Amino acid sequence: MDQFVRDIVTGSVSGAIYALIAAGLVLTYASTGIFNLGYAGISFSAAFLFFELNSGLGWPQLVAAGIVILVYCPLLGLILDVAIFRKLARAPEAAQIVASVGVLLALPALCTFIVGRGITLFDWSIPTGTDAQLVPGLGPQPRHVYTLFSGVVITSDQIIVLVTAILCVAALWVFLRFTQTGLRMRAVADRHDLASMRGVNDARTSQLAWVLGTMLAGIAGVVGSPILRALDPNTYALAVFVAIAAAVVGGFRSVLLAFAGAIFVAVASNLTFTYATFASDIPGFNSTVPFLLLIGGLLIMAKARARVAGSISAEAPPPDYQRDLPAWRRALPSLIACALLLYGVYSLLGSFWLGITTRGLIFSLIFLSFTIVTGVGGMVSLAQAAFVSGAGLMAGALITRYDFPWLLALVCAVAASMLLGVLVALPSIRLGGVALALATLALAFVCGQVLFQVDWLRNGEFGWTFSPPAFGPFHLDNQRTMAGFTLILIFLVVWMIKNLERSNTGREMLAVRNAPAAAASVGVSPTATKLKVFALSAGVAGLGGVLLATQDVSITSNSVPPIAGLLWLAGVVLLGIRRPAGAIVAGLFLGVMPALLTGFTLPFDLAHWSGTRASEVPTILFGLGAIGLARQPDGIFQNVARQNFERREKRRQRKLAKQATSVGGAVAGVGNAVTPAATAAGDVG
Amino acid sequence: MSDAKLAVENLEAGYGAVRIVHGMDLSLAAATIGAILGPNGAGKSTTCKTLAGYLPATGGTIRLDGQDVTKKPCWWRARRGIFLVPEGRGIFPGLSVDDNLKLLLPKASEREQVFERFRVLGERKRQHAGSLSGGEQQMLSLAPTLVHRTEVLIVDEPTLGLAPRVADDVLSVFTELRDAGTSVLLVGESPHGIVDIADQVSLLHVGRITWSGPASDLDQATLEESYFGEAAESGSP
Repeated sequence: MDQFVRDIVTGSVSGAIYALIAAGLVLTYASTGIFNLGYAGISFSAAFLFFELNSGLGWPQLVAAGIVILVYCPLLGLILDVAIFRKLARAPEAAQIVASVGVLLALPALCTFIVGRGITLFDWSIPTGTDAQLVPGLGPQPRHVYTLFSGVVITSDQIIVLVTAILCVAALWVFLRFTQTGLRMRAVADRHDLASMRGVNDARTSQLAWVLGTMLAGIAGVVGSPILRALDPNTYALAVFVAIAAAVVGGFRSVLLAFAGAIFVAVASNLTFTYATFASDIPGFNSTVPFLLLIGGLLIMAKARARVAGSISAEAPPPDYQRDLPAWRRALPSLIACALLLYGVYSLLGSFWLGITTRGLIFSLIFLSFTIVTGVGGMVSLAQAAFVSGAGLMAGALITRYDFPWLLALVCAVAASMLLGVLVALPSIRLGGVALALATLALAFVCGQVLFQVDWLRNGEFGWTFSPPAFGPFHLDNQRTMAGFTLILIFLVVWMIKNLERSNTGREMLAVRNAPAAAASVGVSPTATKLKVFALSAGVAGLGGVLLATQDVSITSNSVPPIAGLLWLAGVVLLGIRRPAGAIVAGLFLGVMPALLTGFTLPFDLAHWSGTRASEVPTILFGLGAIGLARQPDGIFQNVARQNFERREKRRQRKLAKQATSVGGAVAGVGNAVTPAATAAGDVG
Repeated sequence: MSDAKLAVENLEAGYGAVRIVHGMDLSLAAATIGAILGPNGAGKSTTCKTLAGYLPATGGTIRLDGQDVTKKPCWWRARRGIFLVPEGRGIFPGLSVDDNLKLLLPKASEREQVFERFRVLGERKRQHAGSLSGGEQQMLSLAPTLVHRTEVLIVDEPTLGLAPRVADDVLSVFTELRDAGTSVLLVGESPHGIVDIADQVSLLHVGRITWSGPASDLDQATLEESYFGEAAESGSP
């Protein structure tokens, strides 16, 4: 009984930090409709700045905290609102998620990058912060430890977090509930169109929501830093994911319920740790409790109220900007790119760059799975990293332990990954948009913490090592052969995607995407269709996973962390989620980028660059790129296609105008009338 | 036409490359009820949203009391006194009835006036507005205009989906508002009920006003012509 009480008390205290984070998440979501995965990045940056001001420059704690919370955070909130999120308010959900992932990745990397460069280039005498193990918060140093009844111990830091959480949540609740500004924010959240018709300036409420949300994130970062201990972006990301679970359990509307949800999640984790002895063999089980609660919460929420309007991110397909071009002209860029790639792989590149390129191609293959599930299926999946890991581990186990031939292991691993895809999709498939994305992310974490920790699959810390196979004269340990093999697979998958779009399944998917009810009424099962697409996508990701393991010669359960899926999605959406080309280029980019940044010499000595040693640069670039989505939510390729289309259109207009003037002013009206007709004809073709 | 409350000249609007409203002229005098009637797809809702500023006008001008408001944002126009009840009710379904009113009537005494007049709303003030019946929702969306007089009230499909008796109640609110000095613009597909209370009627066909005049001059033939599209181009008086 003592233990039970102790679990509940310590759970409530440690839940406070999640409550603080959850309140900010709910505030931004409820008043702007954007689910801010970047919250962890904001919290981290605040904690980092506080650490540098306090421990680095020796400022008093309260002054440093004041600067961070009252100056830095409001400014950052304003920048985020103006530069990124307001432009995305009506953008497709995938673009919103990716932009917030951009913030999640770029902000921490920027912080450590700036401080790191400052130290090496300008001799700043401050700590790098990355190796800080115990960060002082606002509490007394060293912290006080109080022993309550029956051995329950709490520290001064925990008390500060608890009191701050209660104060913040209460203040926020009063603000939203009883002030006119709070009411305006709730009105915008409920119906933004009507709110502006009733005189609410939604730009102003959006600004306020971001400033307040960012300040809350800053408070959580500064006050929570001694509890979260390591000044490491991943620790903050994990805390925010737990807080998401709390917010979802609390119904995602009310800050009070989010507070209760946070306490509930923390207490439940504690009780599981004490009483779930059956799971004591699985090391990661306790940390999965919040994620299981998150999935459960999402399911209940979807069932209880039809709050999630569609179960896919419904959006109008972008127009085809190449409709006026002949088929050969449409294919030309891809053909040129293919030719260049083949020339590079088979003649130009030396072994180092060849290996890098091959790795990039394998990522291209993996990324094509996003084209299937998000581009064709309209569902945002953040579980792709789990499929890659799972298939790699599975192949490793089959080849090494059971002496399966490589090809058979590949087929089995792909099948297993499709099965895993169905398992991940089954509970979450009737959720839509953000909820589906969160559920898949949670399931990816559960897979990573539990399934891939089973020793049969992971083979200890060192994982599996196996040598690449040979088919007759073709050895896959030859990089050229491997690259060729991957290219063939990419070609097959692209061909499959093209077929999928034209096939029955593709049409069903389109029907389900546009009008689920209408699709059901003509006999298309939305669930079956979505499962099919999900399984296919998981299979492609698994295929890539096996190739990646083969290329790397080894795989461990930590080779591909679940959070990698976020970075991947960011890359693909950045270039274009709807067409295979986007995925392929994103894969090559991600594979080649890290090596490129270490310096390169262009062929024929065209250029030479000795590179940068900052490991943050690729992440910053990708993060900034994802944030750049705010300007082009359909991806770079689509944007280029649109610009070209507009240029051609202008040229046509000019030509017509010229013709009209040469024939005579009287016919000018006819000349203009031709243009819409010509465009309409293009639409049909 | 500088004495008009709301004056629209050569208005053009649409979505992206698709133009819906092609050069509309419209004038609504102070304290009158105007009506815009037209079949499906004539551009009625687009007109409403453009007048309220929710959609930007791509051409032409909108004047309120002689002041050009064409470029002003939606919320600015709302504060200046253009009140649009969009198609399918103008309520916040997720907010309580009380909160719905509070947004425009911050004083409790003002809300009490509403609850005295509409008992049902008073009884259900803690409920989500989305749980009200269609008629109650329409009353809730109009209620603030009865307490604070707005300059121009635009209602898209005022009686759509309402039982006949409820529809009559709603229509009587409009005559009351007119008598209190509000200019009302009713927009609908069916002339039923609307024409009886309107002072001025305009017929809209494929984004153009094809007929415009006092409600008493509107005859069956003109109406049919507009709805069925024959001779629509030459019908302008």
